[in-house]
Amino acid sequence: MIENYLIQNGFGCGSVKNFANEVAERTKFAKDERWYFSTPIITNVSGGLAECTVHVAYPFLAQKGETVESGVYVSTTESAQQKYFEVCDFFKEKFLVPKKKLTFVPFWSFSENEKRLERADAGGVRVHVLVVDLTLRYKEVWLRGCTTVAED
Amino acid sequence: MITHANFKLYPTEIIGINSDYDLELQAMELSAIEMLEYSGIVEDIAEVIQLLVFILFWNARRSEVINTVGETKTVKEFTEASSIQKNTALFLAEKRLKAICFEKGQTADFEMFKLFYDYL
Repeated sequence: MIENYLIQNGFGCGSVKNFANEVAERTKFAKDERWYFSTPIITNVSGGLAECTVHVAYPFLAQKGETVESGVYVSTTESAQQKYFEVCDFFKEKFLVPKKKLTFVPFWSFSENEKRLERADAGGVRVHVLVVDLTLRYKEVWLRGCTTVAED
Repeated sequence: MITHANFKLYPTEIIGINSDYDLELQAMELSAIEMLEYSGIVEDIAEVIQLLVFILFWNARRSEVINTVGETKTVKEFTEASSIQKNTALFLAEKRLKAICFEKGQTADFEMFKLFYDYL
């Protein structure tokens, strides 16, 4: 149900196995303005109350001149922070959000076994990624109407 | 109707709150009423609603972030309000709602308080 809610609100998604590839492929073609979430989202439900942790990521293109981590501009970091605020605001409109963890990953390599000093660009595009883990708590009835399977 | 003027005294004191927040507070009041599912008249539980709105207010706040520079930059969020104060408000809300329900012979959704456990 929570997955449908996110899709209906413009999120992209990828499975745990292909999450990085999904995000990378989309980012190669155009500036992507979407957040992506990793599926499945494990939800604990008890007595109509639900809790889950969503793993979401927001990719954005590096600015010209950003070639090493120490060269990531302040404006880039600030825009990442702004995106973090935006996604928090989105979730807080519907859910209680008790725990938050954010990681800003400069020059995401799209590889699990990356050598961080030798990371290659993905398709000639340098991409930073904002990764956020949010714990959401809600009453199941709050998501009423999001039961149909939506297509991405 | 709840306004900023309701949040001047402990345990629901919010320093710096003003009339700019009244619309937001009123929306939270409606959410709190829906969450509590009290079977009697809303006026009975006005104090409980205020306590819950206090918690919801902090849920909606943007917090400061700290950057720690390293291989990756980790940003931690923390809240400005006292956790003890918020926990006190939550404890009192549940306790007083139980007393009111017992006194008035009404029901409410006490499971809802579980949403806030380990929350603050």
